[in-house]
Amino acid sequence: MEDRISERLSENEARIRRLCRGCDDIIIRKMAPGMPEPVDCLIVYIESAVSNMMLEDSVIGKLLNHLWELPARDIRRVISENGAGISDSSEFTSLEEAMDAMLAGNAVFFLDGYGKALKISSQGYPGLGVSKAESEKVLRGSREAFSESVKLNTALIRKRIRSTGLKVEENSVGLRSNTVTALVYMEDLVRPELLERIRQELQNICIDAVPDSGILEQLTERFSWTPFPRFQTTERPDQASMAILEGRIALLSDNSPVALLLPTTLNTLMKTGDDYYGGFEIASLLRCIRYLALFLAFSMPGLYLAVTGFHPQLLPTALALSLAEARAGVPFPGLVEILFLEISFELLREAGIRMPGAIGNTIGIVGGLIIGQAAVSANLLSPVVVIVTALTALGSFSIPNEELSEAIRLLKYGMIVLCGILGIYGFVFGWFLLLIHLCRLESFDIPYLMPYVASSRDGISAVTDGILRGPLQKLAFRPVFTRPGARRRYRKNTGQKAYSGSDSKVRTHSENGKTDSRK
Amino acid sequence: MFSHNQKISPRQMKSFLILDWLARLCLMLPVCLAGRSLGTMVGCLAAGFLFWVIFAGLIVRVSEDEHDFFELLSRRIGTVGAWLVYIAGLFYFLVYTTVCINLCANLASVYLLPEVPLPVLAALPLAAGLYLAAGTVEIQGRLSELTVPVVLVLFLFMAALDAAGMNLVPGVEHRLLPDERLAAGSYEVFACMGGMFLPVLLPCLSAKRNTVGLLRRAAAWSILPAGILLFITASSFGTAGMFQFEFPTVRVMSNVTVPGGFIQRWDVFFLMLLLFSLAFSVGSSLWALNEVTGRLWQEAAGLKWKIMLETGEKKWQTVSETEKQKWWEREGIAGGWQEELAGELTEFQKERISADDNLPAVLWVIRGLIIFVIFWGAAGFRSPEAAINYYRAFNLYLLTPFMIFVYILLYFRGCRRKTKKAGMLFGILCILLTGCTARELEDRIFPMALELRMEGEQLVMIYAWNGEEASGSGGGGKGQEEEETEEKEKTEGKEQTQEMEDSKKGKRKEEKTTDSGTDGQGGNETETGDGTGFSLQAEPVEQGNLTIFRGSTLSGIQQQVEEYSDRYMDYSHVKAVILDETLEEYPELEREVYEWFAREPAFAASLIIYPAQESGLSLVQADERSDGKIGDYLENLYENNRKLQEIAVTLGKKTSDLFG
Repeated sequence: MEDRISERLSENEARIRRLCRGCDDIIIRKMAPGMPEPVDCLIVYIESAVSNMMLEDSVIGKLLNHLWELPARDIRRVISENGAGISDSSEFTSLEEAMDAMLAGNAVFFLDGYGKALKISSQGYPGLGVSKAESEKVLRGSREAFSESVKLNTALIRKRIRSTGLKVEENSVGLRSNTVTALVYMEDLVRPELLERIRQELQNICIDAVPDSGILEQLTERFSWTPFPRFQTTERPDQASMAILEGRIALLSDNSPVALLLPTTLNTLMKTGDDYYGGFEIASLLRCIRYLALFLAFSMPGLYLAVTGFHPQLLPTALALSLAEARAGVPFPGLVEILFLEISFELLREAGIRMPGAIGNTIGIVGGLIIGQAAVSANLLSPVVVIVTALTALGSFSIPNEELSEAIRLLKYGMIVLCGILGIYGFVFGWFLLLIHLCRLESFDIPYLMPYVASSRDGISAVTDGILRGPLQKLAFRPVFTRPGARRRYRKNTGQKAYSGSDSKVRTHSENGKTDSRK
Repeated sequence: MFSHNQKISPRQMKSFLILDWLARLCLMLPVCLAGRSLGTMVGCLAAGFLFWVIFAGLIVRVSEDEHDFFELLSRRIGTVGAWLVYIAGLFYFLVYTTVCINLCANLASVYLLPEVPLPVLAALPLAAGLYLAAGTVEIQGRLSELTVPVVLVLFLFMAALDAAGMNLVPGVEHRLLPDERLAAGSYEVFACMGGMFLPVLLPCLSAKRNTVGLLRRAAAWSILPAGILLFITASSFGTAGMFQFEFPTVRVMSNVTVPGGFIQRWDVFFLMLLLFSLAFSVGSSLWALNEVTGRLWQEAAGLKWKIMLETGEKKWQTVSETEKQKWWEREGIAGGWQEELAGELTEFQKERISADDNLPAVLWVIRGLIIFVIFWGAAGFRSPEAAINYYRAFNLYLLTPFMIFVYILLYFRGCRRKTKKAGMLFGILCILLTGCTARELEDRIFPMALELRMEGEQLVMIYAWNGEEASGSGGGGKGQEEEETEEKEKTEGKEQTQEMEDSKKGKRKEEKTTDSGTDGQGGNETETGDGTGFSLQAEPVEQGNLTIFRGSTLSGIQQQVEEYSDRYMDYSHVKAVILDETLEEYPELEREVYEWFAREPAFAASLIIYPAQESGLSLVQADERSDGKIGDYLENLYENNRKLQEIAVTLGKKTSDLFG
């Protein structure tokens, strides 16, 4: 319920002090600038979020210094007409809005006899600045990563898309946290129904707090029993920018150093940022390797169990005998061996993440070499199983998206059980069930397996950017996420041409410098 | 954005049909067309294909623009006719689902998991099918579009490999000309392809252009690989010899070898493709069953309302106008009762009907059984071999059809979520019931080569082991030095080695005065009959890397073999067999031996068979020369010795000569 700001400063002060009772980090500073008769004013701010207002180069300091010199009768006029020339200020008539702005890291200025409050932007809460990307490393491309400030993150995207078509819609989510979120999209590329849907979803969120974008992710997508991510997360602004230019939406959240890109498909999750920065041959090879890694991460342990436990006829004789020899004396059945080692690997992984710095690295060496080697020497495990588990782990680490990798790691156990009990029969049906599940999955009504299913949409085929990446000249159309009519992004340059953003209009500069518009 | 309109694209429909047909045609066509000449088979395939395309064209022409096939039938042949067609479809899908599941389970039972009970093997395709059927036709369209290119390419690749190694049965080339069974066979091919899916699928097609061409291409892409495999199978085993095998197209795939290739048995990969296709067929037919029964249920519920209205008419006549007005206001039905009683239900009533779930399931069961019999006689598979197979699948494995029937009833009653949960629960329950039937590598024993000879009236069977297995070493990498030492000691201390074998293998030392197949010679007499140094003891005799079994029948020797070791006897790595020509003097025994070789899935069709006397080979000699690797030695001999290549034959060729 709105609480209108009174023109009497004492009333406002009393209400503010009542609201902020016990909040020692919130400073309520009373001042009396103006000459010869001072005018009472009040400034409210969070101590660590606002720079020292007495500093001459801060906005607040300059404002106050300016006000000190003004006659009392001019102070109200200066405030109401922004005579101080503060670039980022706004007025509130409601105390609740003023408090929200203050809690967002700004300073709020109240003046006796003036029925509004003035928000003065400041440096905001302390946080990490722009750092290097830690989890999405590439050989070529930008090294910048998102920070924990949504303002900074939108600026990083704006730096890469310098267009007024890039829209940033800010919202506040979380009843107590009032976390600032931002929807970033290209107005002429995004599908209106998608945008409307995500807006509705955000508005419908009724929760205490949003400490991380992961909460938003779970609350905005329709609930279904699937471990596969329906949002793509990225900590790289260049990835986010490319996604926005494909008609997708980036959802940023304060205090979260990742952006949520939606919608997403399996194909987008298997791509990396530098896929488009090099030649298509290398990119295609790397993508094939990633898909192979996906197959290994899901199938390798199960396939090993199926072949050695049920169908050794598939193996060359020498290998079958060698494996039999290697397993001689091992007390556990193959299924138990594999499960034991896979769970040990998960434990090592968790320990390595939680342990700080150098100790975390040591865990990998200790676990992998010493424990594994000791287990083999003690005849608790066969060496082949260690190799199988290592290959599986390498496969899962090679998947570019961490959430997808976790989903595959989870489902792998189902495959292990199926193959351990039913051999190749279980292997076939394990894949059958997984494929059905992926076919049923959608991310904001986009089939998860696009472009491998429904590959031609709006008359445009998308198979040139699937497992294999075609030359850039062949990737002339944006993916299916883009609204119809705006899918062309490249045309062979036969003159000096520029795109206006829609493929229905191409501006051509003729030789005499005049600009024509033609379709 | 992407509307969920229950539609699939033409490409998805084509993929749908291909994936549904692939396994069905590969498995059923040999049974349908066995016994015919090659020329007849080709003619049947072509004619059946053409017949089907014409029939499909007729269906498309009649129903392409119709969204509701039942309405179309009602208009053209009346409501009763529409009911009959729909109930026929209901039982068609019921039987088809049963057969597909049974084929899945049988394939797994014969080739993959012989010790797992069949009902359990049937549970997995059922659960997977229910999961697929719980989704919409769009899911099936996506799945087929995604997987058909891979499946088809692999199919054709393996067919091409198999064709490259094909051995024509002598004399088959003289039976190329079509015979009088061309028409019947064509009809069988047509029936095998079926048409019941089309009325259910056609309304789901998003773009109805050149639908007949689409169906024709789908049929062609399905008939082509199935036809190639059928031709290869008939050529390899003979058109009559295919009778000997339950799944001849799978059996012939064991003949596929890739020179220098890592993978040994391609029939397992072929099986995986067939299982995938069959699982899709199960799911799609369950979905079609749901569509058909849902439509019938809707009509039945409407019929119930009509009956209620008619019987209530008399009572209505006694009700005052005021009460009638109140009823109309409450129920929202406008218009006079006479119009309603005339038979046309209002939209409001139809909506109410769809929420009504009072129709008893017993009605479905009774109607379904009646129409099932009608349809089976009128449009089912006519060849006796196919009928026997379906009859066997339907009657011998009662549990599977029963479980399918129960789940279909559940599916009728509940929403799709219940079906998924039921399927999942059923699948988990059956997995828990399987127990773990994996047999680890170290629990198996692999013979590398076999030799069969006659000594008087006794059959002698010699098993050759790999050097490591015979010496009993099994310590993995750390045992290699020990193996080298044992290799040197083997030639000098064979008796010591034999004692070590006995203790390590834990052989049972039961003394048997006679075994089941011997003539009771017993005793410890030894003879050096033909200089081989073999003894005539009833007990298995070990000599170097060989073990010698004796008996008068093959089954007796097999029993001795089973009792010989506590490990599982795995024949999948037998490279060669040496057969004595004297076996030919005992034709029944010889046939028994070859039938065992042919029927045992572990023996590949590429198994090399050496005639003992003509080749001059024996396992004793091979053991001395091969330094423990007898199987590799005999295999390399075949590959590198031109004379032996001419003398020896493969199992596939031998069985085709014998059974063709």
